[in-house]
Amino acid sequence: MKNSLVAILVWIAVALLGSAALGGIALNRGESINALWFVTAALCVYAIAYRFYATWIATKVLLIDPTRATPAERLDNGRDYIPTNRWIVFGHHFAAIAGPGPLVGPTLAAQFGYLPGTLWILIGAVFGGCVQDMVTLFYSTRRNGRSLGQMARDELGAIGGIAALTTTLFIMIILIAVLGLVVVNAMKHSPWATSTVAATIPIAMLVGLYMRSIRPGRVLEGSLLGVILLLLAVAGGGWIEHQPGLRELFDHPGLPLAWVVIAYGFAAAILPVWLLLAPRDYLSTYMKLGTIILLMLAIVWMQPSIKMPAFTQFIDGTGPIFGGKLFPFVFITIACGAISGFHALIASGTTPKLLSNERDIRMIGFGGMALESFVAIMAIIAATVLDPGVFFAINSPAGVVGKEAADAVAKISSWGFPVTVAQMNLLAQQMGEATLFARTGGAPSLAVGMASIFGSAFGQGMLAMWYHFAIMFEAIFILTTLDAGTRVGRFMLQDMLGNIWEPLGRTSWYPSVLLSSGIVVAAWGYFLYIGVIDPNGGVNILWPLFGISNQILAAIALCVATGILVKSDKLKHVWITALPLAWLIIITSSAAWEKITSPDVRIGFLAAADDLATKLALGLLSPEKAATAPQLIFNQRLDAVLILFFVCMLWLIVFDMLRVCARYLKGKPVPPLSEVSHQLTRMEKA
Amino acid sequence: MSTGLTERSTHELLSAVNDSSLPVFDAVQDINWDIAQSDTLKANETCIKPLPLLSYIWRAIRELSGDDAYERYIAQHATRFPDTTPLVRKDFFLYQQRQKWSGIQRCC
Repeated sequence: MKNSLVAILVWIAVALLGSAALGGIALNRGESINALWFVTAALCVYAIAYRFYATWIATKVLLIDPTRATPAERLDNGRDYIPTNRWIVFGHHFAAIAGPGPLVGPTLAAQFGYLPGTLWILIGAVFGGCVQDMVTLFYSTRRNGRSLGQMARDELGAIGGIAALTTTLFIMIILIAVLGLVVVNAMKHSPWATSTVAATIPIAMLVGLYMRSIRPGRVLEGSLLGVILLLLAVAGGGWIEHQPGLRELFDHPGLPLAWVVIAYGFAAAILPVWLLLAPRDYLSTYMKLGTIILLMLAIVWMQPSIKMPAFTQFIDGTGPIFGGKLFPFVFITIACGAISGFHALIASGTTPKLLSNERDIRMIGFGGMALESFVAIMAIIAATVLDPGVFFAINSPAGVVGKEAADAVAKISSWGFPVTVAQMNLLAQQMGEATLFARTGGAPSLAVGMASIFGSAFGQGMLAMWYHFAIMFEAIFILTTLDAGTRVGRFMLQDMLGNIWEPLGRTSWYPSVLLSSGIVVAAWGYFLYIGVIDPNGGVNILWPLFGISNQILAAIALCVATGILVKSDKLKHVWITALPLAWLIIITSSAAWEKITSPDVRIGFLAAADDLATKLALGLLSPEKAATAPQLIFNQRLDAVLILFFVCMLWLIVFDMLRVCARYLKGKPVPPLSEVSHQLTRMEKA
Repeated sequence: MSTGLTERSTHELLSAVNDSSLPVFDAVQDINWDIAQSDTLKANETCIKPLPLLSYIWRAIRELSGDDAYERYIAQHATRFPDTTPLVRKDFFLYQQRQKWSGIQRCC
């Protein structure tokens, strides 16, 4: 009794603190606001959601049963099914779901001001992302760790399975292209960044050789060696920057760098995993966890002020980084961090095969996503502690604000975000860069934000080091996602091609490996190439495409979960997945509608294509623009078709789910629940 | 059935920060499980001794990174397939990497 009274008081205090922090953030106008309020609001929201909403879902809706043996226990084979301590599973799961997405999306969405992104990250995560991850993890666990595609096929029918598979392949291609673009934009004309990123490749190979041949399987030793070398590479990049003759080797515009990234992607996909992918993944995981912890400590210690207003005028759709109004584009731009369909692939892949008890699902599914959402909150803090003028100068593409520095600052200052050429030059000099203008993509502005937070916490003299450390840190795990994504895309493609001609499906037959890797790399390489030659910055095109496809994948996962809830006679509680599903259908469909039909050339793909075609026909374009115009026109039309395809897939599976639910409620036959039968756990603590 | 030594030890270490050791609030008191009491006791015992704590952390780091994967494999192998020869360290490492990277392991 005494305990529960204390608990009530503690939770009331958490609720009050959280509401005060949220209220302060939401209602504050005109003054700078301390970043600590964001951290407080976020932590209180996650704590309450986890303690009450997640527990309620676990015990009242899903009926999680700690006495039931998990697949890891029943099928324990010491290889992929292994009962594992929940904190270890949590670590693996978090490392798998947290990539560059929650860092890039919130940074781009900061063009609307700090408030829309922050609220969507918090609300979207609690009611959308966390629920999706937890429910998918639960249903996959009850089905021996079956994948999302398999569950869609079993529970809804063949259409669902095919939709899930094709969407996954397409989203992978768009994702890799946009991430490649982020890296290219961070490296262009920056010998320091380029040489550091280039150095990560031989370093990873060295670590790979160490772990394979010198000291087999000594993962920690190899990683420690790699991390030290990476830090030396950051310092070495600074040295190269100041060596005439050497620096020119690494000083390139975007296009050649894009070709290098494409060639690298192909090489990485066909090399053995132990040589490049696996060792670099170890390094990127440590870097990622270390940097996130460091960033959190620095924010709490330094308590930087947020300088971006709560809202900017760009909620009307005229934003320089990407075109489109607050609704629906803030919800599309921030996918990872609020709700990300990709997580459903992880939650229905490795993780369910490691769970030693069903009661861990709440912590790993819901808690893992809450932590990723917190990373997104820190990204939004890092972006909004910059002067808004500086933020826009770094992120606005040359096609929008002009190529010359003087034009760009005049334009940005005219929006009410004062910035001067001298200020930008000083900042570039502090960061050890020639220029910071037009580095669209989120990575450089995030790096400047992180460098200024770290710099004020650990000494201003190291700003350039911190900046290039942040660039290296982002590049290293973007490249890991690029390798891993290309490889998975290759496996999926081989699986499909195997249906046409059996030898093509053999994952170790070299001609098939070369062909399928080539197709996947060519597919994302195409979008990367177009993104680089597009004067408006390919981010404007690619990021919304990625956000929409990622959330359509989330909608597919929620369709599967909703179908299972209805078929398990839980109609009363079906809103836990149906509500976020309805919201995702609304935002993805309306964003797709705008991307296809909007007459604004910065939003509508077809309008942009027609506009460029008209200009080309009338001879209004400069010779260099006229040369690339046909490719850009074709690409805009292709994007319109692609987005239409995504939305058709979504509606197809939504109707399929509704059909199955309606048939079930009318008592007609439907595919039966594929849940495996109950078996009592024999593990201790049950 | 469990992964052995770290199953218990890391659990004890980390249950100090585990939410389930928080007192239970009335509204959701009727949850299906309640391991709070025993865990809090275990956590209190381990927190006073710094050395075991460090060794738990070290073991958790090794298990999380996969540094001790081969040792766990050998232990498992001895109990499960005592009649067959286990893989050598290098082959096991290569097998494990191939296995890991043939599925979706990294996200956005």
